[in-house]
Amino acid sequence: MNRVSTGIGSIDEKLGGGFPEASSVLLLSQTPSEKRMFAEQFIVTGVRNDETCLYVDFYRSPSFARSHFRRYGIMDEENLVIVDAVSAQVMAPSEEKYVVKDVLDMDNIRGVIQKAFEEEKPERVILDSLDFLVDRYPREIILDFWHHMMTLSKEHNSVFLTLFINWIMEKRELDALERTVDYLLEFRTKRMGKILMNLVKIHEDKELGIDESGWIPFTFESESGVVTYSPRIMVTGSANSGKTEFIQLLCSRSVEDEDGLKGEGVDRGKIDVSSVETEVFGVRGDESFASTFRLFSREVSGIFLILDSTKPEDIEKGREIVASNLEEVPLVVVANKQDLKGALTAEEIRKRMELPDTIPVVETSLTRDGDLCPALHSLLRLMGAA
Amino acid sequence: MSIERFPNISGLLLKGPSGVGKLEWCLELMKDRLENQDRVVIVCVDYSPEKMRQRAAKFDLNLKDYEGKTLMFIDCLSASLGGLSEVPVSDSTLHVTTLSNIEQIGMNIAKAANTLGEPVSLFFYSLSPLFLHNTPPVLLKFFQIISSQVREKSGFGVFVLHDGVQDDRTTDTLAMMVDGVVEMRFNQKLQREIRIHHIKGVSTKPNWSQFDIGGEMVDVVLSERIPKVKLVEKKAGVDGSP
Repeated sequence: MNRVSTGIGSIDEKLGGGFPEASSVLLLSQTPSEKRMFAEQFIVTGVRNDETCLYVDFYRSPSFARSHFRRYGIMDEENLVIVDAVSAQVMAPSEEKYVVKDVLDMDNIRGVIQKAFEEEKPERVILDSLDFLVDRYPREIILDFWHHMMTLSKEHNSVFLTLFINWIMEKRELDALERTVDYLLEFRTKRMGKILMNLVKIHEDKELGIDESGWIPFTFESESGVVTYSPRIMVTGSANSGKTEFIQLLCSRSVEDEDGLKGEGVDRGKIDVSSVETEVFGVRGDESFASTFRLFSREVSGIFLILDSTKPEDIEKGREIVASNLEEVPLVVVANKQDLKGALTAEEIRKRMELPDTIPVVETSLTRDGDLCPALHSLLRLMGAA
Repeated sequence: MSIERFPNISGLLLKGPSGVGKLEWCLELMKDRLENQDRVVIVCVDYSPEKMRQRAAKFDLNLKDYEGKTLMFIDCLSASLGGLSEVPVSDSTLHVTTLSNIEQIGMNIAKAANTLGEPVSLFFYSLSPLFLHNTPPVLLKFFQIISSQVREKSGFGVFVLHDGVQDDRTTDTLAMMVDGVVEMRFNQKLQREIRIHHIKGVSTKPNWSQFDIGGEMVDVVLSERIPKVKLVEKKAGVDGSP
């Protein structure tokens, strides 16, 4: 069976190359999220592949929608067919070939979309969005329309994506809706540290033999479009403060050996934070730290600052690192090597560093089991992920 | 116009008839917040940001001074009126395509708060036109999500309602979801009056107090235990019931 690429490499990989032809996909969220970004990427990918793409839009005027698509870079807009269900709502003229004149007339909506299907024979179709209709029509009419759309898609071998934020549908109604589609993609937006994170989870049909994915963070990059990424937690501190050991203990899986980066000043691993795979990486807190950190601070969700509690000279370096955190990324100071004689207590370190109460200082010794839990929980709390 | 701080509650519903002075009171609160370096997000549903700037200027509040630094607009009007054919690029304004697109309003509030840094003071002027484009159950769910987000992030939110657009039951449900309600009305002599209906956790007097826009300033005592709020008023409080 041919696969239809989403245009997002890592999502395609999880889907085995993309969605199968003639499949139906529900893009669902319970709270406001960036489903439209995903749908736009799907359409732009199709347009660039010289496929005909149909976008049924109840929320944006065609000119506004087209300007959104242009943010993804150059494409031949002739392959993009918009069903304009907005101009009539705001009593504006439309230059589109397919125009819904009355959004409160379901026959009109169905007729215009059916005509567009038959004449354009689209490979990709987006309905943006079902919640507009759910707020205006009885459930039985919605379900009938929904089945009609899916029948049309199957007949034309189109991949059919529907956006839906569930404001008011009860669980059993939603379950019924979910059961009718081949794929369910769930979306949410969550703030982690200083980053507003868009997340998608693929719930796939078990009959297809593919499991549910974890939450996958994604973002928009001008010209490139939608890209997925890993959230990042930075571990920093002076040489020999225990950064590498900290990362090794913290992470379920260290990736330093895979990349051969050990000894180059960078250690890396991965950890599961609220079902989101998060990268943990080490950076030396040396002289170049402040200038380097400024470049990528906005990509970091949290920071562990590791101090050797037996070295008062580490304190000044630690103060500089805290001062360079201008974006106020959530930060936890880890007072390491508490098992050694002469180690400063957390309170002494807080006092010497003149830290505000908002920055936790957690005592630890990497030789003791389970020592990292308080530090990890403190950071996750600050990141809003606990 | 100086103003003492209104209690930092997370959700306040401000209701009253059109023309009574709700916007002016919001502008007073905004001015207080902005002058205290608070971060402010204004959701413009009834007026465009430009109109909001003009109204604010009359109260000696130059919103442009704060835009892109500690102030952002969510413009729900310009695109829906057909005034915009493209997505404008601006550091201080995010656009919503139509008034039925309340998900985009929610997303833009989150984006603005993230850009400015949380917590923020949110001024939603107003909820009422949204009832002409969405059903009450949908809007109540939307409101519950937005007001919860403001509360969760220790923010401050003022949500304005015009009388007569939504039914009483919807208004009561909205009032239940916030921490306080301020009411404005015209009395029988068409004089403006204001009262604190309630603020959770604070004892307030339910008295109506007269005020006017553009007159001399006098204090309205909201409670013996909370700070006074100075409005642009000409008379002291007059007891009475609604």
